[in-house]
Amino acid sequence: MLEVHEIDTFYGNAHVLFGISLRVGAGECVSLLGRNGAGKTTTLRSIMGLNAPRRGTIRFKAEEIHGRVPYRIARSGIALVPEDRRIFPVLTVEENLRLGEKKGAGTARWTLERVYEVFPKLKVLRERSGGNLSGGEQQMLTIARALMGNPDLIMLDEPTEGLAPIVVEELVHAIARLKREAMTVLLVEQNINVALALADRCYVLDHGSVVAEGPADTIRADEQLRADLLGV
Amino acid sequence: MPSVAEVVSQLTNGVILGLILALVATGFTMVLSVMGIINFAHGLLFALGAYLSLTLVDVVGYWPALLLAPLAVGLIGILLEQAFIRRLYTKDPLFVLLLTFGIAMMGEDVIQMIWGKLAYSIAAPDLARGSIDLGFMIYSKYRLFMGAFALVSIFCVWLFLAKTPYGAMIRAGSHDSEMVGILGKNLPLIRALVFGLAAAMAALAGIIAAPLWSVRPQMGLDALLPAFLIVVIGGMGSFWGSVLGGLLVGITNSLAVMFVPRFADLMMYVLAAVVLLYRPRGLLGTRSVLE
Ligand SMILES: Nc1ncnc2c1ncn2[C@@H]1O[C@H](COP(=O)(O)OP(=O)(O)OP(=O)(O)O)[C@@H](O)[C@H]1O
Ligand SMILES: [Mg+2]
Repeated sequence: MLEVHEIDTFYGNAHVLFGISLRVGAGECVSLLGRNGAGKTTTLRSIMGLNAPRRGTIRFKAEEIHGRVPYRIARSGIALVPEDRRIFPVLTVEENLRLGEKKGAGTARWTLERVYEVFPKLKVLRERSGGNLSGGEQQMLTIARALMGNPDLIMLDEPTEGLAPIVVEELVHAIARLKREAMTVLLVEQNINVALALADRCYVLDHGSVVAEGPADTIRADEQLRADLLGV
Repeated sequence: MPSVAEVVSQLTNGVILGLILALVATGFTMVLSVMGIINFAHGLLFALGAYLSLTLVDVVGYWPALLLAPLAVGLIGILLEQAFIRRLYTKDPLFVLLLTFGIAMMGEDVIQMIWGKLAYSIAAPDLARGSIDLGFMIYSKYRLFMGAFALVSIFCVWLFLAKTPYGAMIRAGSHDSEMVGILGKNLPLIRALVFGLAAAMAALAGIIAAPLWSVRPQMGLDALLPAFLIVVIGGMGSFWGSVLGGLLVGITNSLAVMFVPRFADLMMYVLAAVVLLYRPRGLLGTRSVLE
């Protein structure tokens, strides 16, 4: 579904990604691993068109999407749940969700009712303004907001970062449920247990390059890799 | 000492001036928060509103002009955004200052070329001519009309922002416009429309102010400085902050004219300084202009 081929991305003059390639098949859950500063967020931002790569190609559903502006990439069916959550604190939960609706992409599988079914807490909080949610609630809201756009591929950037274990568990259940419903997921995750529990395959990034890839089981078994590159 | 009736009448003047300035300032702060741009050409749009109505009143009459001139200036705003302003979104604030200031200066020259250097005055519409006896004071009908009209306009803009999906997009955009794009919203289009709406609001303020202020090429600057202070006082990005700031500046100005006429122009700066001393982000702001 998504094919990233040898992209190089810069912030100004700083060269950050060096020939990254990766593939995500339809219905697959692929995880990006790597230390702080490895280039995981930049990879997602490159795919989304927020930091367009200077070289390389990105194909999505057999269309070349690199060089398009972010809103067009979003409409072609990609959703990004960014690492700092970025809900709109001035809008209510429901207004945040409605803003996630978009024209163009996908079949209308996700509606307000369905999203509330997956995240019942949000239904209770629907009149609350986004700024008055806890971290875990905000995280659920960003994922729910992304779903409202009926994406074919959802990219999650460290969804469990800074959350209490019980909330992490809740999120893992929600993501697992998306997986069961055949959603394609690209997951950036520092919590290796979460990543390996959810992912079918993994890519390990270091200093802006892919240094390892394989099924989640192989990565789990490779003590050396985990010690050297993931710090666990 | 001025009589009670004089004080009340001056205060009413202040409130009405405040409402007109609030109309200018809410648009200014919308552009500032959605696009991150301090638009020094915002006053030009106010002046264009007044000048266009000057011409249009003779052709189509007052009421149609009240509708047509803001529409025309809204369109001019969208053209300006498409031709120049949108190139600035990723640039250094210094470019923004130079370019928007340049547009303001050029615009003033264009106004002088078309309408000349002299000041004009526009006649108030027949309906609002003369004065009305309110029992405790006699007051200009046109000023009351202006105040009511500004109030209704502000309320309509608020309804649009608070109750429609487009308004939600703009409010979201003032907080985090990149995220609005990530959600698949046509950000370039939203930006152009926000600029157009802000231009139309400034023009509307210019038109209702025209029969009272003299219509002259520098009137843009006369509106820009207070609008800027109002946004600082009310808090960047806050709609009601701008309305509150506008009222405070208007009232301060009217009281200063009465009690310390020699320092009247200075008092709004004093007001801004005092507010900033206690609330660096303005009265209702959550972010400062520079964050
Ligand atoms: N806006 C920026 N300007 C310049 N350099 C940046 C910028 N953002 C990130 N970088 C650099 O790019 C590199 C990759 O950063 P990136 O955020 O993609 O890493 P990451 O793998 O997501 O890390 P983390 O786990 O901390 O989120 C880092 O060296 C970082 O310092
Ligand atoms: Mg990151």
